[in-house]
Amino acid sequence: MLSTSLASQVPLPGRELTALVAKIANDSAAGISAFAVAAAMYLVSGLLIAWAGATLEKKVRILR
Amino acid sequence: MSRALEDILFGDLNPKAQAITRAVSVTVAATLLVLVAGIVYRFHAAGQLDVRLWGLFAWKTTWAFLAKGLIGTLASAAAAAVIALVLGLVLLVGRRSRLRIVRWPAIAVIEFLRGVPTLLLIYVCFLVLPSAGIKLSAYWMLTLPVGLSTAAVVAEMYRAGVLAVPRGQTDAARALGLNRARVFAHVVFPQALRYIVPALVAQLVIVVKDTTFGYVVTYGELMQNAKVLIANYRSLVPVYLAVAVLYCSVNYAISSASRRLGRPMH
Repeated sequence: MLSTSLASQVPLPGRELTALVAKIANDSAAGISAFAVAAAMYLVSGLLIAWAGATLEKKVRILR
Repeated sequence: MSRALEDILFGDLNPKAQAITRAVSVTVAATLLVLVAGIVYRFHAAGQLDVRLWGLFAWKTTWAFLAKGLIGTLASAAAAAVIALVLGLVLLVGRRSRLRIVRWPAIAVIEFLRGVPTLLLIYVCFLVLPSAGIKLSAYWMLTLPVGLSTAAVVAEMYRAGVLAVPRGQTDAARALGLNRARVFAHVVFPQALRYIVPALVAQLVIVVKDTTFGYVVTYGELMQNAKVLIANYRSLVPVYLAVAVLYCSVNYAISSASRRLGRPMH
């Protein structure tokens, strides 16, 4: 999921979070707050994915 | 009667399963070959395999320029690795502390650095810090975020290694009269390091690859220098192939060196 930030380095159609905040930081003075919001979004997405993974792992784990 | 789990996971394949495995392997290999042939054909059609585009590799200056970039890559990766290994240890000690006031901030820092892309941290150093009056050189704008991101991952690797050390080792050391700090420093951590050498090396390889973000901050590393060559000579595929070979060589050397470290002491 974190590797999707690389999309900001290629001409990918559509918006990507890192590319968007980099643009906001370039265009306005709201740099740090934009980056803080983006970091929070990445963290929440990561935690959600981790939670989904843990739930799946509980269901499919091999009991020995 | 159902087969035992060990038989299913580790037993020899029966003839039918062997035939299926062989057929799938051949199909996948053939598909990959066709794919590679297609890519080579497209490159040829686009003129990227023309001899004139490879001519620049006959010049010493090209290799000197790439070597300069490689040194930049290694310098940044080495410093990032040192930051990661040292800060990772600090975060591990914080995370394993009995004091909540130490443990919770350490966990927060680890989770933050693990959960945020390295590229975002580089942008913070590149775009935000200068506006706050903190001016870093291009070298540190690359090395610091890569080192910080890796430190969080390394801290978790250290923790996995520490947890893998048998409990009896700690008990025996405590029975000899060593305090907690000495048990950790002299008994548990050295053994934990042996367990995690392969994972640590894999992470160091990732550090080397992460330095390719250097072109974002215009730091003179291998990828940045490759881009300069491409811009000047329009030889996209030859330069990227040469750079890929250089990256593979460096990472192979790191892996080879690690095999020596990972060998048992006795």
